[in-house]
Amino acid sequence: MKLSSHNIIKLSIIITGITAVITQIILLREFLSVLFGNELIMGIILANWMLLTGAGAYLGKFFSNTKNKISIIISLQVILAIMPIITVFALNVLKNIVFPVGSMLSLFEIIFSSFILLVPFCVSSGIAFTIFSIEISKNSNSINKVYYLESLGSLIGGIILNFILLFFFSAFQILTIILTINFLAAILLAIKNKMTVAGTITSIIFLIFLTIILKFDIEEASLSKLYEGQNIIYSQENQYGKLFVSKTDEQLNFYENGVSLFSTNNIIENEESVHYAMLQHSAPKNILLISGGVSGRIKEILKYQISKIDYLEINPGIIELGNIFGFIPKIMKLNIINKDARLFINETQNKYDVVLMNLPEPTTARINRFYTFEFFSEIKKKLNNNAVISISLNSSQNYLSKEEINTNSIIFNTLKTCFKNVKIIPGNRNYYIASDTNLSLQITRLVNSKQIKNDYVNDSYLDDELIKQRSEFIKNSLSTKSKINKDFKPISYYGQLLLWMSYFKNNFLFISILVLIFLVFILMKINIISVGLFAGGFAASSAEVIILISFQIIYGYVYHIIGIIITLFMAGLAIGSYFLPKFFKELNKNHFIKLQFIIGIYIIILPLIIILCSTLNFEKVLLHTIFYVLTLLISIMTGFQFAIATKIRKSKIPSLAAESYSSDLLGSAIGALLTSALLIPLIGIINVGILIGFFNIICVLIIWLKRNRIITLQ
Amino acid sequence: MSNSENKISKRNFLKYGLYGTCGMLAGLGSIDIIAGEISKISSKLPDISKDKLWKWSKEAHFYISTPRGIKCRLCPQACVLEEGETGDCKTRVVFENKLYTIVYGNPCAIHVDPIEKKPLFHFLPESRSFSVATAGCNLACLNCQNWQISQSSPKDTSNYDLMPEKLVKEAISRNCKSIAYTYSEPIVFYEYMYDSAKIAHKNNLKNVFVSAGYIEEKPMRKLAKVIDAANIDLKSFSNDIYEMLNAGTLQPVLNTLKILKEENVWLEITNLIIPNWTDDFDMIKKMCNWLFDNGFADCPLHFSRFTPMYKLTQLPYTSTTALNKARQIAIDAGIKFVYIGNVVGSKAENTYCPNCGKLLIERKGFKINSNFIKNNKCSFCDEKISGVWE
Repeated sequence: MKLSSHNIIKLSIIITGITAVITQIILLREFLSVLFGNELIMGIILANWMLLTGAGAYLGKFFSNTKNKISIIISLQVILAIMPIITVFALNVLKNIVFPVGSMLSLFEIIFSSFILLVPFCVSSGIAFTIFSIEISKNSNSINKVYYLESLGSLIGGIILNFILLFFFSAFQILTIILTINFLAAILLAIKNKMTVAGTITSIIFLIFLTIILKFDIEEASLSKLYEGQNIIYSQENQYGKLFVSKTDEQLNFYENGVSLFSTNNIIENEESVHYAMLQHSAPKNILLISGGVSGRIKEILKYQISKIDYLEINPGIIELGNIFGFIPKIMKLNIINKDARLFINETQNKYDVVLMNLPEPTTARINRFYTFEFFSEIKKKLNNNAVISISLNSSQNYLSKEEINTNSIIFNTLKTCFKNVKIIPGNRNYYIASDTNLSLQITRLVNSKQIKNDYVNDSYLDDELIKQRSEFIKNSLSTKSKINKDFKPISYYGQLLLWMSYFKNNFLFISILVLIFLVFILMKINIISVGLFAGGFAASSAEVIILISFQIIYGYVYHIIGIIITLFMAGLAIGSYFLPKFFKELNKNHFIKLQFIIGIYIIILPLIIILCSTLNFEKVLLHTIFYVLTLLISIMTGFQFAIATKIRKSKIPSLAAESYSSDLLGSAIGALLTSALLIPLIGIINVGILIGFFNIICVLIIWLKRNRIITLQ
Repeated sequence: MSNSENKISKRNFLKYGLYGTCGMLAGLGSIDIIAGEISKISSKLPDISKDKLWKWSKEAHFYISTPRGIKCRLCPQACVLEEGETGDCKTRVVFENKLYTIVYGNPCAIHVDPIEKKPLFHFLPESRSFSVATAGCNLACLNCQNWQISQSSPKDTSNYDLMPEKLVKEAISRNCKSIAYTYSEPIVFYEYMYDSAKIAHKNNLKNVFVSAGYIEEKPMRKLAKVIDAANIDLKSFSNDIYEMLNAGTLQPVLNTLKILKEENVWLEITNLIIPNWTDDFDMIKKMCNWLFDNGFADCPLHFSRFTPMYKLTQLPYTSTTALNKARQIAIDAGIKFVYIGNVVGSKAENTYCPNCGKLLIERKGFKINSNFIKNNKCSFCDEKISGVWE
């Protein structure tokens, strides 16, 4: 390919796509690590991202009369180069300056701060799309080409990041690579267009930034500000997120994505999480430990005459950390399994006497799949007679708020549908012990009779009568009628979301109404074809969320397969927007209407296919293929819909590019936010499909009724 | 033809939107089912009147009428409220130009606890305390352990109906030696606490006040007459930290300590060491020197370990080294009994004689393994050991 100015612009578009996708993933990880990771926050950040990019695309049309668009492209490329690294640095450093040290942010604070921090990057990348569209479409309307090239960039970026960069580099190193690529593209563009001054200035800025990055350890500077007063002695980033260890005096503190995993010398948690369940079994031999082995629980388990411990972590990096710090005993009885826990339980032939689960609260879809009826049923198949399982939830011993009653009732009732007996043992957390055999609350009596020597779980600290009183208090507070938590109707993480919001007394309804008013306002303002694009974007991002969540539930969380699904989605967008239109002599509004209708039907059928997959035990290869095909189908349709929309409307390129792109992004933003945070847990995936499908079909109806007023190019 | 012609008219949009909404509502039918679930959980709560006054309202003890409204004089927040308004503590409302408490006889948390859990180490050791709390608090600590109660209005919590007489009867029936007004902030249910404490005394029950001590002098002095023991949470020794972490100020808490001392209430003090907030050893030293200089050398001081909680989840636990260092600072300053809380198996749970240094009470958790205090004195050297031991 000849490196003409036109081709360099194409290269710039691809680089913008690469930059956008890598920055999005890295920033999302950073935001979740610095703030707090639940499904709503992920949705908010993604929604802010797409909203701002959409706004940028809209603003881009105001640059349509600017003569020297190349200089604008160069400036935007410089902003896209430097902003990712600045944003991550600012996020880490400002967190404890703007907000109280070590505190969790409220919903409004998260919405507001992520919005502000994302403005420079996202708005610039949106503007870039429109300007690229204007520049590429000098001779003919080629907006879909920009969409295609950007999707291609996203595809390349996704592959490089997920399969190479995340394995070898830290966030700051990856963003430094991004900075370099963008600067080089900007300098190349300046050189090819003989813009010496612009090229020189860009080169100087590049050198300044590179010097700062290489001279100062900004990664350490930002971490030490975020974890002020703690000495960061180890950090590791893998595909699951960030892990690091800090030292405060003699104490080591372990964090995963900013959330404290454990600190050394936490005797209470180690003993409570092991003994309350182990004591219930007359002779526990085979133990399954899901998470928490590094903190000292293995030592506690070894106080019993056991035969084997199968130990799994949801993030394998934690086991690596445990080995580095010598927290995992080197004993024959310990069998470390490097696999997703759900996948392992499905496949294993082993049977257990005690299963100890030490997972975080089910605040995300990824964690929630270990708290569902289906998961407990799967575990039950792998239990010996009289086996006992233990899980725990955060709770106050003195009083349960209505949100805590809700979250605790859901888990209690879900366990109760699988096991005859469920007892709650109140400690620093609420421990739920479940079994088909009788369970006892006389913990100290059991400790004494089994002669287990504990520092905390013994009659010095505990009193059986008081345990019974508090246990009954919690049990009596719970609702026996609450729904159970299911794979495809994960009400538990919605409950956790409400609990988190109750910390801040935020009004969920008020926020929802604001979003709704904003949406109605936007939809009334834009062209009906754009409303169709909005609905299509909504369907596509919802389908992606449904596919990703369902795959983890049915099969298990396997990072590279999740990566493949996301990559295929990008590839589908590229194919649909660029290659598919080539098969059609001309594109008209009927194509648009038919495609929108097919999208509507697809999204209605999608959950049904997925549920069919979960009930019929398909072969691994077939299951994977079905998910890949489902992903490709929706992304190809979305890309194609965008291409048709930009081809059939008669409008000026800047307005057309701006409105089409922003509508598509707005739909995707709302889809990602609503589907993951609200709709799936609230109404279940089947109803989500029906709801979004109907929305698309209604759009079809409106477009069909108004078809004669849609002026197209034909 | 202009682009605007492509647009759907607003009227049509609304019309089609209505069809769409109907379709969506059909799909959203199950939302009601879930909403019904949550409200059913709530419907287990006692029937709470929507009126500002209810069965559990009583005219407040400390307030005055000012040209700007009713001024509450219970705590230093000094809320000035107009008709119908509720104070910062969420428990005091103005009704017909009078201030009412709405937490009189409606605690939301009732439990039996070992007295050591308060923590009180020198007051009726190994006894049980009937512990009560209502909703509401006059502070807003970022690390509140009982935020579900303290940051809520009594109208939003699930409450018991337990008027003072019934409360005392309940405490006696559970073999408790004392009633502890605790968990959230007893200052906000002052009238309920005061009346209950009087009845408790008549029934030979002791009264324990577990508080942050953010109260005005007059109500504190009045309350002190019916209180036997207090544990005051001295959250830090910096006014700035008090403002930023707790939404309070330091001086009123120091005044409370002095008043309790003057009124001969048995007093123990807790100081929670929160990394990055209250772990400044110079500040701890100043605090300990102030305590010594103001006659609190005999008051047990408990340094407590922080656990990530409520809004302060992005901090580590306090290291035991930091706790031991703080303890040593306090001992060096002349405080006689310094303990460490929330650390399993720490030797700093024990009581040592300040004179001969011998181990007097060996504690493990809430149990006492050995006790060498006889007639309020050290068995080894006869040194008087302050406390209410029997």
